[in-house]
Amino acid sequence: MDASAGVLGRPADDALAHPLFEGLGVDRAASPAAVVIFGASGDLTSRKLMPALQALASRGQLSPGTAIVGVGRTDLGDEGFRRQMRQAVEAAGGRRPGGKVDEQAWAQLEEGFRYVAGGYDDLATYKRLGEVLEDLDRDHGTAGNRLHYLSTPPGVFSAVVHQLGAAGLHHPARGGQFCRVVIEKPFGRDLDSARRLDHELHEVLEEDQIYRIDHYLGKETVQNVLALRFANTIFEPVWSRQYVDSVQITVAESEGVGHRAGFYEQAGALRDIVQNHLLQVLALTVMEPPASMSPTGIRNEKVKALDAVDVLEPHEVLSDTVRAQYGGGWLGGEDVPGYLEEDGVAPDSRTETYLAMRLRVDNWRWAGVPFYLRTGKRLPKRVTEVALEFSRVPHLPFAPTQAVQLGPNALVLRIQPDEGITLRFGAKVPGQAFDVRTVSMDFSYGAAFLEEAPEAYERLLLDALLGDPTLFIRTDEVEQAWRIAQPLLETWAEKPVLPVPYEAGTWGPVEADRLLEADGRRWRQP
Amino acid sequence: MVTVGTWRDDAASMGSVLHALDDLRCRDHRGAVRTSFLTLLVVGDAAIEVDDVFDTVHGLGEHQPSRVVALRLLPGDEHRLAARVGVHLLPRGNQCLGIDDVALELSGEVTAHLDSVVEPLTLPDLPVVVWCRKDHPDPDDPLLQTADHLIVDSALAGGRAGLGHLQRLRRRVQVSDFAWLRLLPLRRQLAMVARRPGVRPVLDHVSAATVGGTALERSLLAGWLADRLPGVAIDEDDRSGGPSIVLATGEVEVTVTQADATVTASVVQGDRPAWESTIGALPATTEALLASALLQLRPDPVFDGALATAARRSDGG
Repeated sequence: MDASAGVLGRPADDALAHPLFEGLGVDRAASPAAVVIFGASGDLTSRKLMPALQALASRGQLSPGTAIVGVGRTDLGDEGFRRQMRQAVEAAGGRRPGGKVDEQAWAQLEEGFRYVAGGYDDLATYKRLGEVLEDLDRDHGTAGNRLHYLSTPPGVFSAVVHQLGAAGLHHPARGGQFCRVVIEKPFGRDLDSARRLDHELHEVLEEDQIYRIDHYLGKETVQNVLALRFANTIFEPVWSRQYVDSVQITVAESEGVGHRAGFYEQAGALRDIVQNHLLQVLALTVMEPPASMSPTGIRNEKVKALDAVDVLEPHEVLSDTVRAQYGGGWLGGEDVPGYLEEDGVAPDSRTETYLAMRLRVDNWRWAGVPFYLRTGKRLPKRVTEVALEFSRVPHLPFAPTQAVQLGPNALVLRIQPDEGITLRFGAKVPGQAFDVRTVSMDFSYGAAFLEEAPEAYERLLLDALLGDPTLFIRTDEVEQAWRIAQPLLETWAEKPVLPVPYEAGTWGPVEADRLLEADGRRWRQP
Repeated sequence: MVTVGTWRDDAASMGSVLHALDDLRCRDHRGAVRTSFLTLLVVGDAAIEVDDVFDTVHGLGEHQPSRVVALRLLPGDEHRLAARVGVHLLPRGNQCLGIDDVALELSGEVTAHLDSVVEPLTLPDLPVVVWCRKDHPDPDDPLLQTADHLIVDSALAGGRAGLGHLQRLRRRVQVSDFAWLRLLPLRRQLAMVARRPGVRPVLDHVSAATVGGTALERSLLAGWLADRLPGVAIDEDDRSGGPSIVLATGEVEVTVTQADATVTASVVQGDRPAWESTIGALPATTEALLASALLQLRPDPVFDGALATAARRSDGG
């Protein structure tokens, strides 16, 4: 059962299991369902969720019996919600060439918009929601299936789930149907609160109903890490301590804190990026090959990979991490303010906007290979990449002057924005002399296929509707990630470390450079 | 799209064409390293407008083949090899896609040895797709030895009478047929109808089917239904109109018709219409059909089954 699902694909809904519908290119299509969005008037719904649903309808991957039910404190009404969602689809260009809305797909969705206004902790809200869902089952063909999407502040996750339970909306309307709950990160603020949240969710829901979403995992190029590693003979044999000297993982953002200061002040780079996105990318990079591409197979290996990450001791937190905060500077031709000058940021804020760290993965494959992780805001450009730097050849048969321009081999997996692979190697410089110089060969992922890559939220919403949890985070993955992050939080709390400053538009503070220089290495410039 | 350079010679050799390609690519450092994935060979007679071909392929935007070789075969015994080469860059984000156009006009004995002409021009280790703009090639055409996939349009090449020939070609190479791809909206709308509550069970009890459209469309639709629903009696309705399918059980009729840019589906229960829906279909332009064909280079057992059955029915077998 499990091996038939997963990232290798999952059959379409039962209605399409018919000889007439084979070969139509809708091999991943969802069953009818009510998609209930809590926090429906929020930014995420308009920017990501609604355009993703429209795109899925456009590709024929949503059933005509799909309804979209908004729940929020603001009283929009059905018509107001429909109007707002239409604006969201128009703003996203309707996912059609030329930026026109696919009217056929919109017409399919339009009849199924409903809106329920009310407080998230008010049982009456959920009773009204229940009535709406029953009506939709009867009149719109949603068939008793529910996908609850919690696009709310994390503080109300528990309240929403408990009220769903109190109103009896936490299980399918009929046997054989489904009820799933999608939860957006962050999953807790630390190890304790994550465990507490998990406990509260499990009071109402089974683990297989909970879909913890990290949109990074929905990116095609993150999934491509698995394809690159496990579908090719040439990479995996060198993917170990025998050939890899060190690994650098970078998640760089050029933007500042923007309008997220309220959230970011409480989170910082550790909670916002490292505990989830960065550690997920690390897990995919270091995991062992799974026996199958099933949800359990992949997630088991990711958990084992995170379990092998050596937790930093308090003194190592001080020596092996660099916590920093951006000051003003020039970036992209603009004079940008420092973090402390941003709207909504406390003038004496100690929130880190940059974090670099050295980790060890203590297992047979990776023992002794340092993993350098960094993330930051207001860095020179937006880029996410994994770079494996290889050991030098044991003996260079060239004169020192001939190989002076030769660097170590490197394999760089570019995850965004310019998705692809770069291989760096040495080549002879044309001419009479025998000089060897480093050259790089780029593979552009997007240019190699005619197919359009779906947006991360399209992929993940469809997976949730199909019941494929492969690209969602399991409870033990969340706990392992917090296990790695927790010592940093505790050490910073016990021995308050002021973030060191770095200038906006640079690759971070000089202290981060020293972290690698102490090992005889240097950061890549992506 | 940025043109890096062009070259032409009315008395060319394959060596000079290849040299020109290398030379033009070296003019822009952005073309030094690039990602390639497909060679498209387009074959036509003297009537083929090479510029139209390139316009169509360039109309695919960033999803176009890395190299397009257009072969214009001229009548006559006199040896002629005229060539035109263009190297272009299509900006895409921070990178550029490299695109090569090669147009060759050939006459004389060389037209019987096209494989020797195109072999040096195909990108190594990558699929080669041959698009025959008008006539179906002969199954023994040496050009097919180069091809991994063949694109044809049965509506321009023999219609219903050409299906037997196409079936023989299919035994040599994977085939995409624009005539079949034009029927995709009709089939998709039928699938959408099936997902309406209450309709799906009807399709398990189809007792009779009627197909409409041109002779070719009827043949393909009948072949498809006969292959997919063995034992169901299939009639052809030769009145004028777009392609259509009517599936009937004792009580219920499901009808899907395609006309211009719309597809209409209706369900009739007894004498009463139960439901009807009309949707827009994207116009089946040559660009759209070519894009669709290039996206489906994998084997298509549904088309294979429909074609084999249609060819058998057309032959009276």
